[in-house]
Amino acid sequence: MVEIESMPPPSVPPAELEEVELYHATNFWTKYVFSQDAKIIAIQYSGVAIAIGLVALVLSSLIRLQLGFPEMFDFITAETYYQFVTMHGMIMVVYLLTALFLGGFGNYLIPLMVGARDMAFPYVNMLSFWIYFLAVLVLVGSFFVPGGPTGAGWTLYPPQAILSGTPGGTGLGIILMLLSLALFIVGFTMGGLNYVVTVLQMRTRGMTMMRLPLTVWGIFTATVLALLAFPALLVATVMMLFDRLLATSFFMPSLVEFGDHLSYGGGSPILFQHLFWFFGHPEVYIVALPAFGIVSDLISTHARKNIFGYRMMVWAIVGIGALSFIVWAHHMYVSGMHPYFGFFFATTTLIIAVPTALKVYNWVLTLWNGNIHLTTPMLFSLGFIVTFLNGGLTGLFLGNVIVDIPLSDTMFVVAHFHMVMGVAPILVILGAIYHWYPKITGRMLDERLGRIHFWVTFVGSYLIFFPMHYVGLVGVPRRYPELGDAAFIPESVASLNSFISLAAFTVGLAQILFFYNLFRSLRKGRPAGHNPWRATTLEWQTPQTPPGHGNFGQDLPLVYRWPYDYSVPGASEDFLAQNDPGPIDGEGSA
Amino acid sequence: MTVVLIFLAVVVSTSIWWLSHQRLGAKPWLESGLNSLDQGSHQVSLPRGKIGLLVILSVVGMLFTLFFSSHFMRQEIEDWRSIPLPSMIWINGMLLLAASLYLQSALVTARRQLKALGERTQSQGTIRNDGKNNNSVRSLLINACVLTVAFLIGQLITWYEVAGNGFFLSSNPSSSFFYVLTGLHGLHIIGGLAVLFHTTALARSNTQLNKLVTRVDVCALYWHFLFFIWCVMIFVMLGWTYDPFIELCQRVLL
Repeated sequence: MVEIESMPPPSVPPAELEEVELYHATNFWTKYVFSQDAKIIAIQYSGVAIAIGLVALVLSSLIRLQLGFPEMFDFITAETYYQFVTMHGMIMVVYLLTALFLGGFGNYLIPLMVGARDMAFPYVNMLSFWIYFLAVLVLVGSFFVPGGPTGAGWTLYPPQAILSGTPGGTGLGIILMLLSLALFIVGFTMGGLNYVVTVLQMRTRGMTMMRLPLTVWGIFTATVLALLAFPALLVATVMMLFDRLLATSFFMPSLVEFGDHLSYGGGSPILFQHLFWFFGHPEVYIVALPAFGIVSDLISTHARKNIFGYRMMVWAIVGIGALSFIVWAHHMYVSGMHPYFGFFFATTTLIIAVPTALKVYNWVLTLWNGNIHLTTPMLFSLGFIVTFLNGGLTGLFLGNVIVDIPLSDTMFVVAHFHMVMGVAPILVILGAIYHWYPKITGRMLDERLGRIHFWVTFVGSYLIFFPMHYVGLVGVPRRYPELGDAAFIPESVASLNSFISLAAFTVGLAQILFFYNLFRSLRKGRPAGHNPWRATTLEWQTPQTPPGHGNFGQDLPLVYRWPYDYSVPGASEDFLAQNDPGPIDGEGSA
Repeated sequence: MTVVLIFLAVVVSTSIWWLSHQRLGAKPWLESGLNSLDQGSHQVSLPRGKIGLLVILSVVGMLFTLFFSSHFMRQEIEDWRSIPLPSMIWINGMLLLAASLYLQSALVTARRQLKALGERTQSQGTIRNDGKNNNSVRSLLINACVLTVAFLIGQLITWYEVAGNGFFLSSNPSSSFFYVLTGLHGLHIIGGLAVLFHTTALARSNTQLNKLVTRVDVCALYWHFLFFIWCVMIFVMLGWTYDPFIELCQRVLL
C-alpha cells in the first residue's frame, strides 16, 4: 500500500497576496460590449472566431467544388481558386484555431480553473479582443477590394506573393493580409500576457503548479510558445510590407517580370521561409497543446478515472513546447538547404514523436479499466486520439528527408496536416463545447443530436482525408486548380476527388445540426445544474451557473487536492472536487 | 537563426529554472490537504506589473533578436554594402543612457522614501502619505522624460543625416535595416514614454508611494532594456568595419 501524505488541515494560513479590487461594469456597454470580464471576452472571442471559421468552411466547400467537379463552375477560375485556398488556410490556422483555443477557451477557463476572479490585466484583455476583432475586419475587408484577397498561399512566400502574377499581389489584397496579421499578433500578445501572468500569479491558495488541470498546462505552455513564435511572423510581415510598399529588398531578389526588370535586388526568399516557419512550426503546437490538455481532462472526467501519469503529461507538454522551436526547417527540405541541416531537423522532428507518443499511451491507459461514459464529449475525445494518431503516423513519413522529397507538394501533405492540425483540434473544440456549454449557459446540449453530429463529422472526415492520402501517393500535386490530362494520374483520381467533395459537403452540412443544437439548447435545453459531469475542477464548483462576475462568491476556493480524484474509495461520491477537504479523518484517498 | 536560438535558450533556461522550483517531481495524487501551501506553492512574489513587464521584455527581445538574425543572414548576400553611421549616434546613446540612469536614481529615491515612510508609520501608528514625498522623485522622472525626448529628436537628426548622405530606405539593404531597426526601437521608446508620462503625472498627485515605486521600477527596467537593445543594435549595424573580432563573432553565431 502507498502511504498517503494527508493531514487534516489545521488552520488556513493567511494569503500571501492581497486580492486586487475588481472592476465593476456600470452599464450595458461596459458590461456586455466593452467588457473587461474574461468570461464575456471569451464568448466574444469564440463568437468572432467561429463566425470567421464558417467563412473558411464555405471557402473549403468552394475549393472542393472545383477539385471534385473541374470545369463545371464558371465562377471559380484559377485566380479565385488560389484566393479561396489562401484565405481558407490562413483563417483556419490563425484566426480560428489560435483565437478559439487561446482567446476563447483560455479566457474562459484559466481564471476559473486556477481559482482567480478575473485575468491579471482585464483592461489589456479587453483591448486584446478588440484588436483581434479589427484584424478580422481587415481580413474580411480584403475580400472586397479591387483584385480581391491575396492568393499567395497561406505561407505567403515571396517573391510571388507581391508580384502581379499572383492574385492580390500588386493590389490591396496582400497589404491587407499583412496588416491584419500584424494586428492579430499585437492583439494576441496582449491576451497572451494576461494568460501567462494569471497562471503565474493568480492561482488560488493550495493550487500549486502540479495541481493545475492539464487544460491549463496546455493553454499556458501554448501561450508561451505563441508569445515567442509570433514575433517571427511579425518580423516577416513588417519586412514584406516594406518590400511591397517602399521597394526595399529584404526578401525580393532581382527579377524580371513581363520583360520589365524590377527595382528589387539581392533579397533572400529563404530568409522569409526561415522566419515564417520559425513561427509556423510552433504554431502547430500552439494549436495542439491546448487540445492535448483539454482532451486529457475530458477523458479523465468521462471515464471516471484519474489521468494516467499526470507528471509525465506535464513534462511532455513542456518538452514538446521546447522541442517545437528546433524543428522548423523540416518544412524546408526542398528549399535547397545543406543535407546536414536536413539530417539535424529530421532527427529533432522524430525526437518530438517521443513525448507525443507518451501522451497517446497515457490517454489509452487512462481509458483502460475506466468507467467509460460514451457521452458526446467522450466520443469526440476518442475521435481525437485516433485522428491524432493517424495524422502523427503520416508525420513520421514526412519528417524523413528522403521520404518527404517525393511526397513534398502533393495531396499527401494536405491530407497529413488536415488530419493532424485540422480534424484533430476541431474534434477537441467540438468536444470541449459539448463539455463546457452547460457551465457557460446553464443548460445541456441535446445528447442525441450531439451523437449524430459526432458520427457524421467523424466518419465524414475520414472519408475526406483517407482517400486524399492515396491521391497524394500517386503523385497528384497540391495547389493545382485542375489536373488536365496528365499521363501519370490514373482515372480513379477524378472519381475519388468527386467522392471526397461529396463527403466534404456532407460534413459541412452536418455542422448545421450543431448550430441548431447550440441555439435551441440556449432556451430549450435541459437545465444542467452546477456540475452535470460530476467533475472535480474548480470551474464546476462556482456558486452560480453560469459563473457570476468575480467567478467565486465571497471567498476564493481553497484547493486541497489535484484535479483528478475520480472513483475515490471511501468518498461519499465517486469524485472529490479540488476544493473538497475530503473525508474528515483525512484518509481514504488512494 | 543561431542568434535567435541563443536568445531562446536563455528564455527557456530561465523558464526551466523557474519550473524546477515548482516541485515538478511532486506526486500530486498522493498529497492532499492544504499542507502543500507551505511547500513551494508560492505565487511569484514580484508585483504583477513587473511580471507582466518581464513577459513583454522577452517578447520584445525576441522581436529584436529576429531582426538581428535577419540582418546577419541578409549581410551574407554579396550585394550588401554597409552604410557609414553618423557620429550623432554616440550622443544619442549618451542621452538614452542618462535617461536610464535618472530613472534608476528615481527608483532608488522612491524606495528610500517608502522605507522611511514605513518606519515613520510604525512609530506613529498611522499611515500618512503627503504629496511632498514625491517631489524629488518627480523631478528625476521629468529629467528622464526630457532626455528621452531629446534622444528621439537625436534619432530623427541621425535619420536626416543618413538621408543627407544619400542613403534612403530602399537605396541599400543595410540602409533599409538601419531605418527599420531604429524606427522600431523608436516606436518602443514612444510606447514607454506614454507610460513614463503617466507615472510622472502620478508622482505629482498624492499617490500611494508603494504604487509609485512599482511604476518607477517598471519604467526603469524597460529603459535599461531598451538601452541594452540600442547598444546591441549599433553593434550589429557597425558590422561594416569588418573588425576581426566582429567577424569572429559572426562566424561563431552563424
